[in-house]
Amino acid sequence: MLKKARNALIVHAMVIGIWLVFHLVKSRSARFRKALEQFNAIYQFRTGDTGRRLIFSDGRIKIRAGIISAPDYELVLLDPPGVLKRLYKNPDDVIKLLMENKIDQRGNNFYLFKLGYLVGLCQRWFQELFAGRNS
Amino acid sequence: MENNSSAWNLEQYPRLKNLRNELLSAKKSVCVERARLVTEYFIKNGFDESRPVLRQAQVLRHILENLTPIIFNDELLAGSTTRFRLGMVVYPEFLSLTIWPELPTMATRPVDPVFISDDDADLLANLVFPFWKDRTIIEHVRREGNNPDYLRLMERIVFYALTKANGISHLVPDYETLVRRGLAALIEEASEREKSAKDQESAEFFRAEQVCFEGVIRLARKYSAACEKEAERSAPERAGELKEIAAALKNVPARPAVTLQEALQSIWITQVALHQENSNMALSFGRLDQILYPYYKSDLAAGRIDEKRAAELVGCLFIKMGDHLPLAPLAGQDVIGGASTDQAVTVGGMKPDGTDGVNELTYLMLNLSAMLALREPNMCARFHKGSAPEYRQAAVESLFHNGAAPALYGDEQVIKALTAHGIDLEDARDYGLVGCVEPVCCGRSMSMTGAIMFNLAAILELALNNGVYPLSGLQIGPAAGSFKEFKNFDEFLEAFKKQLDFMVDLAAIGNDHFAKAHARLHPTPLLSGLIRGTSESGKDVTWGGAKYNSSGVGVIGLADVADSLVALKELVFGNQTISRDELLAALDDDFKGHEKTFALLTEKASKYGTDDPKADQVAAEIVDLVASSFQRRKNPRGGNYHIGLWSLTMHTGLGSLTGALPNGRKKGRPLASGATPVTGVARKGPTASFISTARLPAARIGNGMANNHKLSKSLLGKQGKLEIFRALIDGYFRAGGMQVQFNIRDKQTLVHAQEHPEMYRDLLVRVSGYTAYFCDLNRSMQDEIIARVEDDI
Repeated sequence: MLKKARNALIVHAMVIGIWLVFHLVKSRSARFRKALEQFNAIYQFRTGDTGRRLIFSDGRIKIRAGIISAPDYELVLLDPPGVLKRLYKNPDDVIKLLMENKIDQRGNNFYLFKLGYLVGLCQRWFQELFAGRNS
Repeated sequence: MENNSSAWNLEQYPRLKNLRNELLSAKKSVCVERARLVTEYFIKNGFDESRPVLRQAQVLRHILENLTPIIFNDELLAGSTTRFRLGMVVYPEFLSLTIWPELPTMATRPVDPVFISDDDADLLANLVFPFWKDRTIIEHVRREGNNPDYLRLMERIVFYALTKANGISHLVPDYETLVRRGLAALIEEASEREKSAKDQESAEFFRAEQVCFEGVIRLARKYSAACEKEAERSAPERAGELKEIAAALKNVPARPAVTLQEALQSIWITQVALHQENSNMALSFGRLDQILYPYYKSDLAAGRIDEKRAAELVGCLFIKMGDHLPLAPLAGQDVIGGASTDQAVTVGGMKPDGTDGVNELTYLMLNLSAMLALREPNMCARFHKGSAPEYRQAAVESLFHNGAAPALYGDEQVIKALTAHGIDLEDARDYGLVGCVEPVCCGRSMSMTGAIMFNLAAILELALNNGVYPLSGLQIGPAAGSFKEFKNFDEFLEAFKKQLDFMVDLAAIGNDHFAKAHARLHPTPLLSGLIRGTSESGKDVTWGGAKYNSSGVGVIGLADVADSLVALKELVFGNQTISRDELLAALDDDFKGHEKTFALLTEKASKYGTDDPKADQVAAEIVDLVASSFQRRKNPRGGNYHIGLWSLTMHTGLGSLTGALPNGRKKGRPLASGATPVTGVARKGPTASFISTARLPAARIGNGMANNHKLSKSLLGKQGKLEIFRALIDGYFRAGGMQVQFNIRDKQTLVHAQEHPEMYRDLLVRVSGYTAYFCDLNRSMQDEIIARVEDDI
């Protein structure tokens, strides 16, 4: 029960965290905004029967709780704490997550790599911020 | 000519020294030109799925006509795979999308930085990759099969990898015909065949060949013009060289080569063109000493060149071969870490009529390999009973000076393997190596020798756990029986076979689907035009047009699985020294708290690699089992599966995902590489180890093997040791050995290189098939090589 609650919390926190970071970088980075142009997709993050969606539409990013039957891409976190640990170590190392069986996925991997790219843009933005090159 | 490698040094070849340094100090860069050209072409012209062969020919011609000719200082051959001195080609139709997440940060990351400008990264992110979203091979296969199980398992990587997802390659084009006849003659022939073609598909194939060949000729002419232009602003000496290159490119590859320079140029510019058509994975050169010898001889006789000039020209080609690298995500380091694109060059060995083929160029190439000591080409030297002692000595000396190449091959066993797989004897004698260690018929085979990489250790884990994979806890394989309930070893072996057949079927089905996808979406008309058999069949090689058709498998984990099965047979089911409950518990606990069981498994069970017939018999039976399992199936081209025993760096990557095994191997430790015994096990010395490997059934190993050994350089440099070393190798091949390769390195050097990589930029090592720069490997792979036992001779 506790484990289920912990896993659900991780999923919600992850998606909300991604959304917040994306919003921040979107507001400051023209490159990030360019990457959102004409990109429409629904990502679903799930663990067990708990899920949250990250929705890209018309240059905007939204989040919604709950599960739908046909997202463009679904990531099932088989080991939510393991995923967190891996992403913390290497945010763009999505392939390692698959190899280590920490996630299961459904859908065209284009969406997985696109998401990884957006994360990479954020990583770059923060690197430059700390190096004093972003305001 | 001095056939002694030690007499050659780079100071005598300042041009080669300079080019080598330029290559070694070049930063890795992603080149988007090909990706941009192919994407823009399809955006403009549409992607017509109804006529794939002609469509691919037309897009290739577009690429070749629009590639920017890049000429570097000092080169004697023109042609650049990318716009950079050391570039990586983007193939958006295959797996290049996997680097997308890394694009923003790959230039500045501390580990393995790869340069790409923001503009180029944005081009890929915002134009190229979105266009290919539903058009990559892998997504086509996913859609057609409704996300099939074989694909989902493949994406876990731990069971098998299906490399056709990353393109078609791993073979040797017919460069002999190219240099001898020229493309204009092949165009004429294709034109005649088009007129008399038996059906529309064949007619289109022959049309497509002509379009491709014309594209290559245009590329060559473009380079010719660029050289002439460059000559106008160069100093007189360099201007003269550039004009010579320009003149060569006006002749070749359109017409037959006349000089050695033209022959080399013809081959190289065509190789560049082939890499624009399909993936840069192990497209190898074949028997260059045989192909180029007539031109070398003729040039010498006419006084056009001397031996030193010949060495310079061939050296320029060798350096050129390293101008591109595979583009892979960081996670790929666990699979192909430090790899080049593994273009093999084969020297020595028998001619098709069975006589010895060694000539002056053989020695020249061995000396160049020793002197240049670069990771490309992957130099391979063939031995046979009739090989002269001076040739054997030259190969061994070349290896000593290079430290990692050439790899050595026993003709008798390799030819036996090829003929057992349906290759005609004369063609088999003419074999060349591809990629890591795979023997193929040069210019006649659609071999795809790396089609499947197959993890045997995962099969063992499934068999021990009734089809449940321990890492994920999921039921992956069939419920073939609980380990605790097997009455004897034979029952366990039956369960092992069931898991094996299950996984082989999935891998083969997956390979089949990828093969069909290539035939539909990305056939290879240029490559097909340079493989014999296609003119007669009127079919692209992806449609089965080649004379020989096969698919190759690299099997990983033989030694660990063999030793594990022996331990089960002897200690668990045999004398029952270890109970089944205890074994399973020990594996689950990674032997912590089970020291007695660990000691029994590591010390008391027979081991492959110790000249123990019991263990060697089991290893041979496993090879037989795996070969038989794959040979139940044919590939879509009607060809057989050939198995091989080699692993790239996957034995470390897969090892990190594998639990403890019954041979005493602890969780996460590297598996043994290729056909090599488990590290630390071969305590009876190299002779015993070689005898064990020589007992593996060569006739079943049609896709080659990597038998990795290590020797201390300082030991081998002592008086008399090189002769002992040579005798050891000779003995191994006489005993039935198929292949052997060495790291000739001192452990202290490797350890020092780990701590001070900046001092060892070009330290070469042999991984498991290919050579790599030690400092490019990840830490686990470096540790694995350091840990390899040094043979004492």
